[in-house]
Amino acid sequence: MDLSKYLRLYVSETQENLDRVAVILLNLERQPDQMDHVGTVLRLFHSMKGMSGTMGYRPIYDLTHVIEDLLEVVAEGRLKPNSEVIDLMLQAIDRINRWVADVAANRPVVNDVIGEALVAQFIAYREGNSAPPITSVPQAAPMVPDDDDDMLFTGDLDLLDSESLDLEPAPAPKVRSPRDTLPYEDASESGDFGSVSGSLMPFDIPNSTPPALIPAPMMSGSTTPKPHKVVTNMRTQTLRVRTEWLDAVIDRVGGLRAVMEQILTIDSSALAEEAPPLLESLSRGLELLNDDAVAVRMVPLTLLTKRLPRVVRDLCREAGKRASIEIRGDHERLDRAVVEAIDIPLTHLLRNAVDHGLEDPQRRRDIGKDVEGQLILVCRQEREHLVVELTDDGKGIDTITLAQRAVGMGLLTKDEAAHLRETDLTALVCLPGLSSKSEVTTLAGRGIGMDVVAETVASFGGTLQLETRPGLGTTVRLLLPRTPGVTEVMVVDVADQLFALLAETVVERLPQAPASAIELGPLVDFPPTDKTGPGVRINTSSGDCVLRVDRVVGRQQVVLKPLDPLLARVEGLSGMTLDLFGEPVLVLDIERLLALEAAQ
Amino acid sequence: MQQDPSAHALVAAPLGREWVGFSDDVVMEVFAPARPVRVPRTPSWVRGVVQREGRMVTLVDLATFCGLPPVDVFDVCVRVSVPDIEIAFGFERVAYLDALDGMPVPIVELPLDADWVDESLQIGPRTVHCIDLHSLISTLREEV
Repeated sequence: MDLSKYLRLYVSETQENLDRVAVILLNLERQPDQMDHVGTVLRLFHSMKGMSGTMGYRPIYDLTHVIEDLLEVVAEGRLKPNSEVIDLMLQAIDRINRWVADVAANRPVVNDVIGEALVAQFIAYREGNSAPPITSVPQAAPMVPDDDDDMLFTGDLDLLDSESLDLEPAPAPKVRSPRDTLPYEDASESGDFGSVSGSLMPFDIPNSTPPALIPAPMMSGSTTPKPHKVVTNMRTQTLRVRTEWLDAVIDRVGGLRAVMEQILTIDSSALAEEAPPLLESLSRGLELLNDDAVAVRMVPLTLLTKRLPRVVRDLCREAGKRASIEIRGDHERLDRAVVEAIDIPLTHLLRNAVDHGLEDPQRRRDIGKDVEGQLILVCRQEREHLVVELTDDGKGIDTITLAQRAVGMGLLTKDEAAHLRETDLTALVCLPGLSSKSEVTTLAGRGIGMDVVAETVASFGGTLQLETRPGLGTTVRLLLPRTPGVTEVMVVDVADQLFALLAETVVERLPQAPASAIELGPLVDFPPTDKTGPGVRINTSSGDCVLRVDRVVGRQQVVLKPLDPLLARVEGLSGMTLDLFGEPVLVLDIERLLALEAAQ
Repeated sequence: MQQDPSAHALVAAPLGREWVGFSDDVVMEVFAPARPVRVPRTPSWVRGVVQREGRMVTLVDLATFCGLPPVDVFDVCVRVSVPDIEIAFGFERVAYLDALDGMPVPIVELPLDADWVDESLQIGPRTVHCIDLHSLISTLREEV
């Protein structure tokens, strides 16, 4: 039986199950008496084992088999799910994730020393002989995969297929072991891999809810584009979409072509009567097509956040701290590129929070805080931004020490340090090489991190804000554009050509520019503008100035495009965009133009 | 990259007294130009940018670039493409020629740098210099 066509489904489902197991294990570690968790984990591993056996992935089957054995011991109450056990399980998840990555990359699934050691250790635990752990602390779930590891978002690979199983697990089994009772014929139990006969059942999840089709995607004629889950690969510029989405887009384009045909065949005598409704239909169709294109890039932040509890847990284990993370609002959707881009910054923020922010448990106890630090990640929409805010309840940033170090490094004068404002803190923390922590650990304290965060966030049009309260904690806020590249500009007219100014630099519009205003025309190689023309006050690093233009068209949200490669070296331009009529509009870098003018 | 002019149809256009030809392989379209949007701080042979199929394309006056009298108004533009860049050249007119009808002729004195020419062909009454687009664009980029 050819199982290759189920490979992607296997990968997506196994990754989904592993992610879910990791979350449940973390909950179990915190609430070891919640035996429902054990039942759920047991059932999920049982499913993974069955699928892996059917697919012929023996190492995964072997490991999940011994995990299942150990979970039965836990379920019977003979073994406490302590941190050592959870560590072992998490290490197993990491190993299985690597194997699944091999499957996804069409590499053979080969057992190795780690895999064998893990199996041996699970057996030893089951028999009551706990062996030393493979490593003292499991590896944090990789938020940034290796170059050859594109697993970050592959949990959604199921969406590549036209239909998928509903991965929501059934309620925890009330019985002790699913193996004892489930009507599941596990072909792999007999060691007979790849010889399953009969119907296509390898992916049935016993006792789970019946397989459900993913809701039908937007079809042509739908007026509201539905969000489409996508799969993305880190460090790649590819976007995988569901075939239904592509079909729907093709349908929509077909509809537009039909409308175009109708327009082209209108008799000239009937043009005034018949053209308007067709043109309106064409316009609506184009808008929907645009919505389709935008929607397909939007992915939920959960793709990123679902691994964070595990990451925090591992960071805490390494730092000897205790913390939990609460995540709110991560159902918000954000452009794929932004989600990918904030992966590394978010890791830096968590590391900083755990190592710099949170006090160690003894210290927290001494000062009357809960020994377990609290991290709260909030995602929310604010106007055109999506705000991702991480707050810790640690000791806050030692701004005095930070300023002293900045002075010592020559980054700040003593006078500047003495007059630091609240708003200067963000800039100070983001200075390369500056850290308030004297001790360098494996986690933080090297003075790298926040500058990387700031740089990365700025690179796609976001901003970073920071607040700290001594003894109470720190909040780092990332303001992210929902759709990168969409920028607000002020459009002006000079000698019948439109130019755009970045709205963030525009202070105000003036009905008439003062006599001292700078003519925009000559700055852009055009004739001087009308002396009675309106003005736009611009903020530059050397202060405000007023530009005289022929007409102020107004503010617009536009998609910035880079300059044509032939023009890449032309100075004074920030990019290009299109106006409402499809004409190119140059986006000016006024500060640079003024500097060039002054240099002449 | 050397092109094989004998294997392709050519889109040819007058340049001074000579003709230049673009291999049909690199020609995206021939279009009637709208008024280009002028780009400040560029040489005079950069006529501006035009939008074609959602992309901004720089419109170049090859005659001016070669030191010939500029063409006042372009009647037709040829959009060409090589990896990473699209560019449009404006001309007074174009002709579609078959390189198979041509006979190689020695490259004589040209307004063009010889490096930009793959081969010169005599096609009927016209001498057509087949453009090595990579080489030409590389030079244009250096000059902007």
